[in-house]
Amino acid sequence: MSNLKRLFVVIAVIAVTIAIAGSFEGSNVLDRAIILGIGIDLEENGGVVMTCEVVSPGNGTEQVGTFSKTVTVSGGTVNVALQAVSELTGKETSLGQCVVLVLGSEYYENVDFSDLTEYFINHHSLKESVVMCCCEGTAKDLFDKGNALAQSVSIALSSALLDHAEKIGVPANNLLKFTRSQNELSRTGYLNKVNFVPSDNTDAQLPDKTLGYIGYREIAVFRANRYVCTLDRQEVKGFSLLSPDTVGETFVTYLDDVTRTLQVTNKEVKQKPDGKGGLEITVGLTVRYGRTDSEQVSGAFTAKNDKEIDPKLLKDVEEQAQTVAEKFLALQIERNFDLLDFHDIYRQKEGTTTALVNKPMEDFPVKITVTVKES
Amino acid sequence: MDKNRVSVDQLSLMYLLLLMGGKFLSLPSILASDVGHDSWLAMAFSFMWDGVCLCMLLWAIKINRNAKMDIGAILDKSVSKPVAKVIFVIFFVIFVLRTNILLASTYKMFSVTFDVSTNWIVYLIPVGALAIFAIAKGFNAIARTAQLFFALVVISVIALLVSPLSEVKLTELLPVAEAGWGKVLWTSYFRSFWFSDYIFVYFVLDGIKIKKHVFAPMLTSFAVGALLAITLNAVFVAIFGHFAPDFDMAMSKIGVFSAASTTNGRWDWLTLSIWLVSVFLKMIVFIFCAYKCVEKIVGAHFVKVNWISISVVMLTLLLPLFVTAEDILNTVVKWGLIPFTLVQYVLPLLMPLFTKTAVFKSEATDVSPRKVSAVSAREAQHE
Repeated sequence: MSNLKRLFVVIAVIAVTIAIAGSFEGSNVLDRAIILGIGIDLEENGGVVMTCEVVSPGNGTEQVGTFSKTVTVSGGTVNVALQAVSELTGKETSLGQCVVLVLGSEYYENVDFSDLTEYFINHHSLKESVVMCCCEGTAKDLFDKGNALAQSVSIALSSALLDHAEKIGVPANNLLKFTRSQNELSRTGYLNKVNFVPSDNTDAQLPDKTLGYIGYREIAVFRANRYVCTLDRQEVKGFSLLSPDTVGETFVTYLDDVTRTLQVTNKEVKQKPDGKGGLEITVGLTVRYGRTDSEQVSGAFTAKNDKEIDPKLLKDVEEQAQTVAEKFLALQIERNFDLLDFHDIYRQKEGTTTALVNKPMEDFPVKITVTVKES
Repeated sequence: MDKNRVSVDQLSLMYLLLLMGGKFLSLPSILASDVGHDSWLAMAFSFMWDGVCLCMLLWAIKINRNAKMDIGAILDKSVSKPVAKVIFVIFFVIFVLRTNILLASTYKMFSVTFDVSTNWIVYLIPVGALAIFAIAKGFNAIARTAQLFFALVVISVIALLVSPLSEVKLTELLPVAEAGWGKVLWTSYFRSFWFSDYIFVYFVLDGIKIKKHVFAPMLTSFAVGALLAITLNAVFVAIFGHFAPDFDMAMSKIGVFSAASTTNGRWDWLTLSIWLVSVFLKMIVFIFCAYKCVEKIVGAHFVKVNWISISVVMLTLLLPLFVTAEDILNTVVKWGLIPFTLVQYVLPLLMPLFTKTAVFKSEATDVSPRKVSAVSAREAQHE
């Protein structure tokens, strides 16, 4: 090939490469409103109020430390509301980095939100593993607490539910698991119910500033995307004890007028059919002395130590665990929901049948055995 | 040096990349819509048939070890020229359709997952240019590229597969064969279009360098590739359950369950991008094979790149401009099930016999098989 030809080929390749590269329409990060969290509330006329925590790259005039802002819009549907966010921010919304989805209480208590879960689960860029929860009051109020938390509400929520919840005995959920639970077998599932808990402000320079943290120890139950009830603390504890993936539940016991806190460090939960249509559940807890600042502790404390745990305390924990677990199981029957996937245990044997799908919880008699040992 | 020469080791690495390159796009959701959580079983059966056929094909390679006849010469001598041409036409259709499906899937992945949009023709130009370059450089160049990317792609696939494992409950796959064994087996056959990735080997038969082993490296690659594909499929249906049929981009969905994707950003996109190299390699190999089919159909032997044949292949890749990938799968692939079965499953079973016959005939005439192939090609060109 002559030099002239070679030169021609090189120029042609460069020209074609530039032309092709220019034809791929990507989006510039500066043109995008990156959404970290989405809150959904009920609009007066039945539509949705959407609050988004948005990171807008390129807003150089923003204060140092304020890296996100909340945008609240209304719309008949989630899609329309997201469009409105785009219009308001002047940027295309991007859900690829969204870490949390929060439903306000007025919304989830009054609406069948099947359309919402269907929209989000089919959304191509939103991760199915996004943390999903509901909150006390409106999601907008919660997202407005960024200053009080001194960090992004979305990141605080997702890290609390994704990283910590299961370590302190609170099961946590994500979009895919929740949506599946609302569409499969008993069609019941749960969401963590979070709330803003104000705390005392000891900052002398900003005495009027609201401070607080996010509480996430409540759980709301849903059937087919409709609210059923909220579990109280004891019921949450029972649910947690029977969930194989959580540890960290604490039990307060008394011996010789001293309050002792025992914490679950390991757990083994086995569910198996009893051959009569019911289930046998065995829960094996491994406990150790908890930290002295564990919750529910009052009166005289014991320090965290490696001393042998008195068998009486282990027996006490066993009885407490049995009580809370039975309380939770009774509620499952009373409100006919299945957070422990009893239906799934029978599905694994029989497959999905109409009879199984429609089987009420009272038809699953449960025998529960709790054993406790020292770690 | 023959630019289409390839060692068994290179062939094995290439085969493994090809196995991983096309099974993680829309196939898992298609299988899930057919047989639900039993889709991994359907895939396992498909791989089982593949394994048997691959063994027969490897046997044929061993028989062809000294003769080094190409597929054209083998079929011409064993089943006659007209039948051979029909077989190449079927091969051509398979390669073109599979390339189209892969192109359509990756096009969608770029547009949906990476939010990068373009039109079909502009998307096709770089792929076509790469394919033409590969054809000009020969199969050896493609095999060397596969070697280069092999480790990176395998690490990416393993990373994508491992990240969601903590989310997986294997009990989701119970009861085994809930859809019924009959349905699982039928699905395995009905979706066979997506399998038998070894068919590219036919088109490099005359260039395979055999030093020691043939079976061990190829079967190892097959076993690893099949295991990864089945595991990924099982993980996918176990995680997505009821929704598995709705997610037609399995690989881009499966990586989001890594805890790191929440705390450290979308690193799944990085691994996904590297894995995509194997898909593009697969497309290039299939385009190369389609080009070779044209060569065999017209009975020519192109020493240099033949632009008419290239144009024919490239024109067929415009198919998605007129019909969607779903329509292609629901019409052409459905209608072509039996002819496709002939070349995907029956031909490899008969290949040792055909090769033996061809070798015997060529030895009887005492003429070099390569020469025969070239002479027959020239004759056909002359006609």
